[in-house]
Parts: sequence; structure tokens; C-alpha cells
Amino acid sequence: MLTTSQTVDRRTFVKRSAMAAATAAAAAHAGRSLALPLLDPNQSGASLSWHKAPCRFCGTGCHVMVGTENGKVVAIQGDQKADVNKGLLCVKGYHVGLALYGKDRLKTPLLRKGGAMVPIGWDEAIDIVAKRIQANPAGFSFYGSGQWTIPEGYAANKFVKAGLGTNMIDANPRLCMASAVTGFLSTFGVDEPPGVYDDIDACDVAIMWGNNMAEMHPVLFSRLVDRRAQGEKVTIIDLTTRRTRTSELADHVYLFKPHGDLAIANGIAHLLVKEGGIDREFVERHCNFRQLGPKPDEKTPPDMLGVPMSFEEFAKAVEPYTPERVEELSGVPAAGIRLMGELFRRRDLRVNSFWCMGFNQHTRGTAINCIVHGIHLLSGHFGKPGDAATSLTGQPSACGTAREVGTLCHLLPGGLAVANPEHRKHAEEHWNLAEGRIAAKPGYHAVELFKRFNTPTAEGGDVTTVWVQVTNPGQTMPNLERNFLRKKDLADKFLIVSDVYPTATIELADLILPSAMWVEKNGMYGNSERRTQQWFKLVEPPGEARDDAWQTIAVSHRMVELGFDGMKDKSGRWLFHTERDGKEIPIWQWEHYYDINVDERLFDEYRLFSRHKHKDLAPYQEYVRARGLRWPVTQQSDGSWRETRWRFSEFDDPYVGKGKGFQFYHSVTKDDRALIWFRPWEAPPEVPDAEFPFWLCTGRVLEHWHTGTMTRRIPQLHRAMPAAYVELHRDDADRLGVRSGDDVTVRSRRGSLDLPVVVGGRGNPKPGEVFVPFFDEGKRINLVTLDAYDPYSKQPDYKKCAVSVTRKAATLSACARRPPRG
Amino acid sequence: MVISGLVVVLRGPSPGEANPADSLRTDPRMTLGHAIGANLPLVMETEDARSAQVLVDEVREIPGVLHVDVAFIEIDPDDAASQPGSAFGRRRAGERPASDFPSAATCTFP
Repeated sequence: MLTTSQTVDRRTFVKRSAMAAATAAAAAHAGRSLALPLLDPNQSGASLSWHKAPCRFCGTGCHVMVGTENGKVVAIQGDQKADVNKGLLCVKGYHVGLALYGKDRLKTPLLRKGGAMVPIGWDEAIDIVAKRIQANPAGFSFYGSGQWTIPEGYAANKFVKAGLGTNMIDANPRLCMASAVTGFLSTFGVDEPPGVYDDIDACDVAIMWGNNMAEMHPVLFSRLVDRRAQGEKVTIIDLTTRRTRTSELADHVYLFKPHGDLAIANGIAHLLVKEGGIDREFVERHCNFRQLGPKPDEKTPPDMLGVPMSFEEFAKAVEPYTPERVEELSGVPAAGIRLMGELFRRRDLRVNSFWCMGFNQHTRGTAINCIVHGIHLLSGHFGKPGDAATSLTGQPSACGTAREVGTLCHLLPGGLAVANPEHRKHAEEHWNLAEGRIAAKPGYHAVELFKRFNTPTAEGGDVTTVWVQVTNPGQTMPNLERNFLRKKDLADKFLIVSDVYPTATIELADLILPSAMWVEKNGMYGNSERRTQQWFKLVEPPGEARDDAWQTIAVSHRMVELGFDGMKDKSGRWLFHTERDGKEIPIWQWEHYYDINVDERLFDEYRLFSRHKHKDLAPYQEYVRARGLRWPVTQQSDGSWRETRWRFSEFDDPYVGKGKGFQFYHSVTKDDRALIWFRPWEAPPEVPDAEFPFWLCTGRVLEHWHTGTMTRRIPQLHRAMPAAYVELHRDDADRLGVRSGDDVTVRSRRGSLDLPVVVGGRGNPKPGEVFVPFFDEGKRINLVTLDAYDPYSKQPDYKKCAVSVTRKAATLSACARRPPRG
Repeated sequence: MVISGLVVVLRGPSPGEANPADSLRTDPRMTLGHAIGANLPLVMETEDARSAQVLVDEVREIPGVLHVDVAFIEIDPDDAASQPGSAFGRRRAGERPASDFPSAATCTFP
């Protein structure tokens, strides 16, 4: 209990901190910079030093200034020099420094022995991992995330694809933005957005396609808010399945039925065709039309390359999507479809679409990504500042690490593909491997990987060892009981987890490796707008915690010591051989790991890959000087390095030929044209019925980042949002006889979960729909979710499945069985 | 007690519309900072998280207010009444307080 004087002191300090944070944010909104207060009132600030780093949390890629004193992070400030956030941070960003200091940090390796976790030394831990992998390389899989730094992901990727000669590595961006990848590949032949955040500052119309930007990417949303505050006219359209904070600033809010987005986008295409909205010159010069071919058999989807179609065939295909028919399919009034069609038709406006998980976590994720690119191309709202189709990512380096470094089971670094013989040859040359070393067959994507890991070996569960770094599949896998929890009964399966805190995943770990996080190590991230960012280690990790990249490298070297020649190149040199002035540096030994900048050594090797697909990266040292650079970064005649903002547009992209205007130089059809796809609306795989009458949507909240393993250890954020809940519409709550705070059971065909009800909170679903956030380890909604996935991206659909909602401890009542309205 | 640091983004006043800062200034729960352009920093003190949410919603409804950003949140860890418990309501009987979260309970400032 605090004394009175302490209470006064604390209150004064907290109020001063709150005002300083708010003033700093206000100043950043207005384009000025102010320092934030120290996080700890006992810190003097006299010897504070400031350093740059990207924020640890979402994919926006804000830069923070990190204040350190006496070996600790003690202050955080928005970085005024950063283009992304211009000094502004969100509530998570202002508290990011505290993510390091939860007292339950993992500090020593732990091995499961007889049901208990027993501390062991690093040498033993590395030896166990190396021997386990060496005993069955084909049964081993790495599983990482978009929180891997670029060098960490590169080391893991090389470890598996060069060292083991398998492609058994995947990452949680498979659960996050894989459908955006397949959308970009299908449309442009190469991944990642053509546009940048500058489009937010230049658009006249911002369409949020199932994207709650106000809470999920608040710093980006603030750019729209600022423009409004300055009197600029920006029309914001919120297409959503539930009202959110984004809806409050929107000019038009259209609540659509889950899965209705495909109908809406096709409805806009229909109107563009019918009402003269096609930019004929752009389309005729730069686009081809495409549709899926026939299915090879009942179980196999058509391939992603599709078959050509004419404009006339395209027009006929979208003919049924009249505004009235779209209203039936989506629930959006025909007048709303017409309004959006008109906005796309107008050439005097700049139109920017935004999406994130609403599109990507979708069994038709690839299709909806393609259709929205298509309506931008059809209408010519492409490739000019403000005219863009912008997919946002959830993780700080989903783009930089998973997509660019290629830590997915079908990719190689630089956007190359394992299935492409020429790409494998490039990789074998860069890595000095014998021809044929890299396997042509993709490994298992995330859901398949964990399905097999959770299947007895004798029954085809051929993944026997999984090494998880920087992610939490024990909370994020859909249908958790099937895809994660069965492991506990499978004695021959071995789970290695590198992490910073105890997590849901660690509950089933056989070996735990304590990791350094964020500014406890050197790092590089790549954000949603192709911006590669760099930071230096600023403080020491606690206890025996060590860098993830070091762990990978140390295991690789131990395998060499154990006689595993796969970890050597064709010249007999270790894959991670590092030298200075002709002398090898033993980076596999922790005490020598920082004798050299391993990040720089790995990055400068990796960047050689980036040129094949025109994703050129600059040398490491250029990123030390910058607040990130957006690729392709090309060297100028004076030796300087220039970033690119608008890809495929002649006025900015150096790879576009003179006089071409636009050039899609990785075109699927190899004629420099983008593809406009027709993809029909189709019914979702699971729909509400009498037994499970509600739609369930899952997602995030402002205060927490993903599974909450970091933000729940930040007291301010945890206390602000301590537990998960289920949002219900008031009509449904009345029908169920519940009100805010009452407990209900949310049940699907896969599992159930008890949750407190919220009615009239910050999010408001439609009647017949419920929303549950996934941040709460104690209330894992993924026990309930569906593991159906998009056939191309393999990304699961977390946004819709059928559930029942019943009052807790009550038998299923008649009112709960009654189908909801709407 | 919940202390929040907010940025209230103001629209240019419409004819005949009162200055929203004037109505905010009269509320004893608010401490206003110095506006920077259209951005007004303020600190809000409320009894609990629900009151904070209600008050933020009220601020949003004031004519002339365009948007409210949250820059800072501090909920008194020793004051059970201020614990949100469920999303925006008080902690209910039998529900674990925030400090019972096995890991977060041990968080301290560096």
C-alpha cells in the first residue's frame, strides 16, 4: 500500500507523464518533435543517450528514439526524422521500452525432464538441438515469424534450404498476409505493394476494406485525421463487418455480410464496365484479363496462372454483379455500391484502398486481393500518388523477413521460388552449393506443418522436431486442439522454442531457449511499404538470453562438428564462415559473436539475392545512416543510393523503360502487363445454421499486439485491457438474456470457450455476428476457429466460422437456438 | 483511478459553433495542455476504466472534435475499482484482477 505522500508523488508523476506523452503526440501531429518523459521517475536523465530503432510491434514501421541510461531502456520518443511516423507513436509504441522488462523473462535454457523444466547450459542445449536435427533432417521444421529480424530469418532460411537441403521452414506470415502475396504475384508477377504510405497523404478517397486502421495502424490513420483537421476533403469509406473506431471518422460505413467483399468488389467492376469507368488507354496498354482454368480434378484447384480471357468475356463475367444482386450477397445497399462505383469512375479523384487481415485471413483471400487490384487497374487508379491498392501487414518484418528473405516453405531469398530451376541455380551460386543441393519441392506450409507434427509418426506425422523462434503457435494456430495441443500425447515429437517470455507454445516445449529481444541485439526489419530499417544493440539481454541468429548459427556449427557435411558449401567451408582480414571469427561462440557485426555480414550476403526480382537493397551501412530505405534502392552516378516510392511507374521507378509510362516488368504473361482477374463470389466453407447460428470474427485490439506476450507484460496496457471478451449486438444479447459482464460459452464444431459479454463497447457487430480478440492466453479463441484455408496462399480464415453463443452454465436455451436476425 | 493522455484533434470551428476547448476546460476531470495547431493535448482523470471510456466517447461527440487519439494510459494497480475486468466494465466478483496474471504481475518499471 502506498503512503499518502507517495500517492501524491505517483499521481503527479503519472499526470506529468500523461501530459508529456499527449503533448509529444500533438506536436508530432503538427510536425514538431518533443521528448517523452522518462519511464521511471527515479531516473535522473543526466546521462541519457538516444538511439534510433523501429518499433517492435506492428507492420507500420514507426521509428522510435530509444533513451538508454545505465544499461537500460528508460525512455521512448517518436522519431521526428522518420518519414513513417514523423515523431508520432501510438499507445503501444510509447510503451514499447517496457516490453523488455517483465520479470518473468526467460534467462536460461530449460530442458523437459520427467515432466519438469530443468535448467541446463547452452552447450548442452545446442548439442541437443544439433543431434535431434541430425538424426532426422527430413523430419525437422523451422517455424518463425515476421518478427524475425532480416538477418535472423536469413540465417534460418540458409540453415534449412542450404544446410539441410529441405524446404521445411515456414513462418507465421502464412497466417497473416500470405493471401496478399499471392494477390500481388497473380496480378503483377512479383510480391509487395507498388505504392507507399505517401499515398495516404495524397488520396481523395480512402477505402478501408475490412480494415480497422484506427486501432490496428493508428499512426497511419492519424495521417488521414491530420488532413481532415487541416480542412482537406478526404472521403473515408469503411467497409466492415462490425462498427469500429475507424467507422467513427468514416463518411460512409457499409456493414457487409462475412464473405461479401468479393461481391462488393465485383459489383464495382460491373459498374466500371457498364458506366464507362474503364480507363481504356491504361488497360489496353498495360493489362491482360485472366480467369481460373478448369479444375484438374474434383479435389485439386485450378493453378494460379489461370487462362486468358478477353475484355468482352470479362464484362460478361461481371455482368451478374448488379448493385441489387450485390446487395443480396453482401448486405451493402445498392446505393452504396453505386457510390463506390462512381468514385472509382472519376478520374479527378485519387483512390486508395487499404486492407489487412480482413482480406488475407480468408478462404478466398487470393481472389479478393486480385479483384481489388483489378478494379484499381480497370479504372486507372494506379501508380500515381494517392492512387493505390495498399495491403498493410501486422508484423514488423512480415515483408522484410518472411516475404523478402523468403522464410516460407516455397521461397528462396529475394522473391525467388524453390520450384523454379533457374531460381534454385541462382541460390546455389550465391551460397556456393553443389548443383541440385536445393530441393525443388516446397516444404509444408504452417497449418500442414503443425497438423503433421500433431499426428502420430506411424500415422503419417512425418514432422518430428519443430524449432519455433519469435512466435506463438500455441495461441495462433486455428483449431488449436487439432493443430497444436495433440502434441502433448506424442512422446516422439520434440518441440524447441526460442522466446523471451513463457507463452502458450512453451507449455508444450521440450527445450526452451531464452532469447534476446529488440534492442538487446542488432537488427533489421522491413515494413509494409518496402522500407528496410536497421538498429544497433543498445542494452544487454537478461541472464543467459542470446540472439536467435546466434542460436541458429551455433547449432549449424555444432552439426559440422558432429560430421554433418550439409552445413558446408561445395568448397568445404562452413555456410556461416565469417572472417576479418583473412582470419576466421568464431561467431558460433557467444563470447565472440559480437566481435564482428554478424547482421552486416549476413545482410550483405543476402542483398545479392535482391537484384534478381528488382528488389535491390543497398549495402548495410546505408541503412545505418537512414530511417529506412524503400526498395528497389539503386546506386546513382554520384555513388549515392536512391530509394523508390512508386514501383512500375516511369516517373519514379528506375526499372521502367523510358517512354513506357508504366511497365510491369515481372509480368506473369511476360509482356510487361498486369493481370486483371475475374474471380467469382462463392459461398464460404462454413456458414451459420440452426445449431451454430452466429458468425464468429476474431481480431486484435488497440492495446495489445497479437498474442499479447509483450503488451500484456506492460502494466499500463495490460490493466487497460486485461482479458478477452465477446462482443455481441444488443438485440442478440437481449435474446440470449445477457448483458455486459455476463459470461457466455462460445462454441463451434471444434471447441468452446467461456467469455464475458460486451455490448456497446468500442466495436459493434451486426446482429448474428460476434467478435472475440485473440490476445488473451487465458482465453484462446483459436480453440474455436476453423482451419480451412485459401487453396493458393494456404492462409487460414480467422474471420468467419459458425458458432453458438449460450449463457454460461445453462443448457442450450430455446432463445439461443433461434436463428439471429440479420 | 485512471489517468489518460489524449490528443484531441479539432476541426476548424463552424459558424456559430463554440470552441470545443472551452467546454473541455470546464470539466474538472480534464487538464488541458497547450494546443499545437489543431491538436490539443489533455490529461483525463476518471474513477475507473468504464468512466474513462464514457468520457472519451463524450469528447468525441463534442461539436468541433474530429478525432481522439490515446497516447498514454495509467491505471492505478492498487485500486481494484479502476480495474477494467471485462472489456470496459468493472471487474466482477470472482474474476482475476490484472495483478493475478502470472507474468504481468511481476512487471515493474526498469
